[in-house]
Amino acid sequence: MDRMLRNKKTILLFLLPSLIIFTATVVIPILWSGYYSLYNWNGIGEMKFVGLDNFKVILKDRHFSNAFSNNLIYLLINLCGQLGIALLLALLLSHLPHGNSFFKTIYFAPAILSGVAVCQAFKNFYSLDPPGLFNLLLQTIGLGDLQRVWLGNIDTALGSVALIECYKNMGIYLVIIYAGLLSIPTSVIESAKLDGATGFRMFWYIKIPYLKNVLAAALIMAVNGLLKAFDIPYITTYGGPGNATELVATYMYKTAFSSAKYGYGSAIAVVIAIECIVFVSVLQFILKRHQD
Amino acid sequence: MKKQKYHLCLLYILASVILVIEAYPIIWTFLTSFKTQDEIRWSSSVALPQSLNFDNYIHVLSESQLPLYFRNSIIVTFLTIFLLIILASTSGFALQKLRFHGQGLVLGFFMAGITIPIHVTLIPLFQIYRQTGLLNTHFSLILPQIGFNLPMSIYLFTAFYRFIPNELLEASVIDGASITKSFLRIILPMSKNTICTIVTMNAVFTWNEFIFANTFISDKALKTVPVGLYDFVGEKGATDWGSTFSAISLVLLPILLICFIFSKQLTTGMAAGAIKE
Repeated sequence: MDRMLRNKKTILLFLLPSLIIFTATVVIPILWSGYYSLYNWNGIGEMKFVGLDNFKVILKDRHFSNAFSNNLIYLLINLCGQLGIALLLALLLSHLPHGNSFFKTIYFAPAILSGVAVCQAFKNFYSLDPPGLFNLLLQTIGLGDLQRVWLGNIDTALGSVALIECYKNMGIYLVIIYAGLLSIPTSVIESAKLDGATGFRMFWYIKIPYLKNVLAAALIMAVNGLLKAFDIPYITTYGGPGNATELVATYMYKTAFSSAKYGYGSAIAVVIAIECIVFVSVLQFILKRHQD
Repeated sequence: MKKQKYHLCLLYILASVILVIEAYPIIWTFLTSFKTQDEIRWSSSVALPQSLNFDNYIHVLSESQLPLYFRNSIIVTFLTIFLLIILASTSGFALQKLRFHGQGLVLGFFMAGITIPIHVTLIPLFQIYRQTGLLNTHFSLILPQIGFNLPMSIYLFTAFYRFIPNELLEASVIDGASITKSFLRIILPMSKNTICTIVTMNAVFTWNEFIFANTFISDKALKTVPVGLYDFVGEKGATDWGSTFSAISLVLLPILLICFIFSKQLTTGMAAGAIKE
């Protein structure tokens, strides 16, 4: 039996195809990206070796630092909007004796919708002429003065796009946190109730400690994903107006594919990858310290 | 007692309000798809359509490229998932049940792939495809999507296989079957739930996948739904809103169906993904 389990042919048959495809489509491109980042190349002509120059340019690139700070703001808004609301809704659901599955399915639905669909609906909601949902709501509650072209205004564009991302992805974290809530042993909750714990105390002293792992995982997942956010800003406003909604991923994409600067674009991609690793590692470090 | 009922009632009202908020964009899209062009331009954005007007749908289905985009998405999604299941179930089996040196390393190799952002591979893949002639083919989408979804799928399979007692395999081998046959006849049928989870999750991801499709495919006849829809909206979005929203509604329908029928598999998959982190 053991011999059969160690049979080289079987192992190769089962493992090799995956290894080949994975290495070819994931691992090798990453290494090539690093390679490209050391060159200046427009895709057709000659590749000109520039060493680490591209990275030096990134440090001074105002567009990049703008995209980077936009990304941080985007990250913060979404962390509150997605995780915060997900936590509250998960708590709400856990208090409903019936129908949680139904509510949960609908709360989750936006997460699996096509980005183009969601963005188009929100583009209409945000419009001013003709007034979309949001401007109409403002009119109805008497704050008509606050109406504006939300996506066209440099001050509000980033927040507006961030809201779309919140709406779309909150469901994922809701499902994750809710699963975590359900896994808290009922005996713990019951005995806490007997001791008189309710409401906020129950939440803070009993439930949160049990949720620590789940919340940590969700936080890391969210940070990792948001630092690379691309679809929604790209589809909704293409980084505009100006570069008010430019994020590092959209900037990288435009640099490579619109401006045909493949070398520089690769360097930005490498920076994004490193940035993600650094953020997540720091986060994991802080969270691990906190857990002990 | 009464106070508790009162509280519960409030909670349900709150949950329902949020339900309406969450569902509203979807509902609005469907409602708007039934409006005529004049209705959209001149009546309020939140007004109900005057009738169940299917003109927009007919227009989209007969005159636009949307059916073609659907066909492309179905091809890409189906092939991706089919190959993914084959590759992930076998590799997962090799990594969990078979024995060889460095098993842990290979598993770790795959798992490291989860942390990699797909953007880093866009440019190299684009160049590789251009030079190998794979650009503008369905394979340019299928291959990387298999690659990037392999780690998670392999993880789900190994997690499942861990629970299968080795005795089961041994019994089959004693009966004279080879390992491969045992895998196909016994292990694979047992993995139905895991397969279902992986299929639904990846169906959704692949169907909605935008960035690869936008980068690698420029030939209109080969575009998948997200990119095709994006183009459609770009062309018609400023003028023919009725068609835009019926196109979107048509795209949303299959996704919503999957959401409701397979909600359990989807949420299990998502939760498993987080726990891995």
